[in-house]
This record gives sequence, C-alpha cells and structure tokens, in this order.
Amino acid sequence: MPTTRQALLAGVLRRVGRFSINKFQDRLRVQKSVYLLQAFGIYLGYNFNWYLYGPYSPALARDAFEVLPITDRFEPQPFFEAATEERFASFLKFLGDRKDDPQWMELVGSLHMLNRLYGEKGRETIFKKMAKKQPYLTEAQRIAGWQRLRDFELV
Amino acid sequence: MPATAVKEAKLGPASKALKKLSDKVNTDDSMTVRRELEEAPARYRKAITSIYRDDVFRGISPQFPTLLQEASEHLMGVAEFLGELDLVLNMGEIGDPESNVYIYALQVVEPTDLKERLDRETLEIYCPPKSLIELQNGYARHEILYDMLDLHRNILLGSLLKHAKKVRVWLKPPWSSHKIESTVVLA
Repeated sequence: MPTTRQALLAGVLRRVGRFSINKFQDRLRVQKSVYLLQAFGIYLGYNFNWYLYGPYSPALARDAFEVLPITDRFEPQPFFEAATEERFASFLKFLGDRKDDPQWMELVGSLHMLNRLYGEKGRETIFKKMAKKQPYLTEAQRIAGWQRLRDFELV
Repeated sequence: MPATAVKEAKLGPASKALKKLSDKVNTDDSMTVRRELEEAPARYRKAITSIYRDDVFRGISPQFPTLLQEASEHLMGVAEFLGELDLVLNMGEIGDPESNVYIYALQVVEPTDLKERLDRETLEIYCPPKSLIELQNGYARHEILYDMLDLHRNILLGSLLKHAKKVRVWLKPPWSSHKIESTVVLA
C-alpha cells in the first residue's frame, strides 16, 4: 500500500502531465519536476543531493518506481490552501511548454541548485561549473535558463 | 548555504565514475546511480561528475505543508492536520542525521477534559501500554509517532485529534536546525 507521500507524489504529478520511469530521460524528468516543485515551496520532503549530473533524490527514485507505474489509480491532488494553489500555478507557468523537455528541466534545476550552493560566488562561477559538469549544454542555454529562473525569483 | 560549507566529492568523467562506483558496496542507492550512469545518453560521457551529499533544501521555508510553514500558529481542519502529520512523519526519522524534518511530540491543549472524551477501547487496543497514560492525557511522542505501524499510529492519532481544538506541536522544520514549537488551531 502506498504511503501518504507516495500518493501525494502521484497525485501532484498527475496535475503536471504524464510520467514514466522506463527510460533515462523519463526518470530525469521526474527528478527535475519534483526538484523544481520543491524549489517553488511545495515540499514533499525529498532530500536532493548533486548526484553525478545534477540534482537527484534516491528516495524519490524509490517512490517513483513504486507509484508511477500505477499513477492512474490516484486522483489529481489539489491543495487545501489557496496560497499553495497559487504557488503550484506559478510552478506550472514556470514550466510552460517546456514541461516535457527533460534537458531544459535539467538545465534550470542544475542552475538553481548550484546557485543555492555557490550563489555568493556569483553567476560566472556557477556558469563555469556548469560548463564542466554539463558540457552538453550551451552558454546560450545557460543564459536563457538563468533568465527564466530570475523571472520567477528563483535565483 | 555558504560555499565554504559545500563538500564536493569529485568523481571525474562519467566513465571513470562508473568504475569508482562499481568498487563500492552494492547498496540499493549505489545500484540505482550506477544504472543511471550506464543508461545515460552518449553526450553525458564527457560530463565531469561529482557528488554533494548535503540536502539542498535544508534551510528552505516551504509554503506546503502548512505544518512546516514559518509561523507560530496554523489554522486547519482535522482531516488536513492528520494528512499533514502522516506526510511529515513519512519525510524523515528522528534518528537519521540526514533527515531534514521530524516531529518530536504533540500535545492536545484544548479541550482540557480530553481524557473523558477519548474512546478508551481504541486506545487500549492500539496504544503500547507504556504510552497509554501519556496518550490519555493528549500527549504523543516518539513511541507513538515513529515506532508503530503507520496504520495503527493513524488510528490512534485520529482517535485523539477528533476531539481536539488546539494542539501544540514540537518539530524540526527545514528552515531551522532547532526544535520549534507551534500551535495548530483546529477548525
């Protein structure tokens, strides 16, 4: 039987879109969606470390394997407080038409996390670290991702 | 989180990281990470990998759950409170140093005649004998919150809180490294 947190995870993700865990990019999208959701203050209690390529939560990986294959059994999850619904709407607006784009989500999630870790050293330091850690992303993508985070006051 | 506190374990290019991780103990988590390394698209191979073990959400002030908001008093319904308790109790464990959140205890402070209103039979069936007197007085701590089956714990908390008007909660939220006291007023 799923835990309350697993049920919440499935219910919230149903409001975002359809998720799978079959392929690397599918799991990447799950990880980064929940990371960004938590960055918007909707906290499901998943600890996120930097793991190899970016923000990653082993506990989330375990829960996703449990519930995402049966996600249709869960109803979309509303929030009791209007202010939480507003945050959720803001999260969806932030994702916009990129919500199915795992590479974009990896970009903004990684920038956000490195800013949390190294923010006091400035944007250029973060960009340099990103260039080494994620050479498959371009400088133009980093600039655009940073601007998107700034527009939503996440950096 | 100041940069000086960041502990980064550099693993080098992804191909080398895979070998380093292969030498480690086969925990579920390390196997999951290894699988991600193996299945990553080719463009990831040149990435310089590393691990930061500190939780990046340590220190945030969340909007949800209400119970973890940075406020000394919360107003909510009983069902919402029970749901949030169950969620927060699932988020961490008081004995785990990596846990960002846990609940130390809760106490019903209103009504004051709680003991007379409680369903004694439910308490006697599900409550561990050593915690019975405390629970009858509206107080629940570790033995009730973390040491029981979730189902039994939720039955007990439901039985306790359906009569409650005001509850004091001692917890560690993500935004503090200390024990915080807050009051939940039940609508």
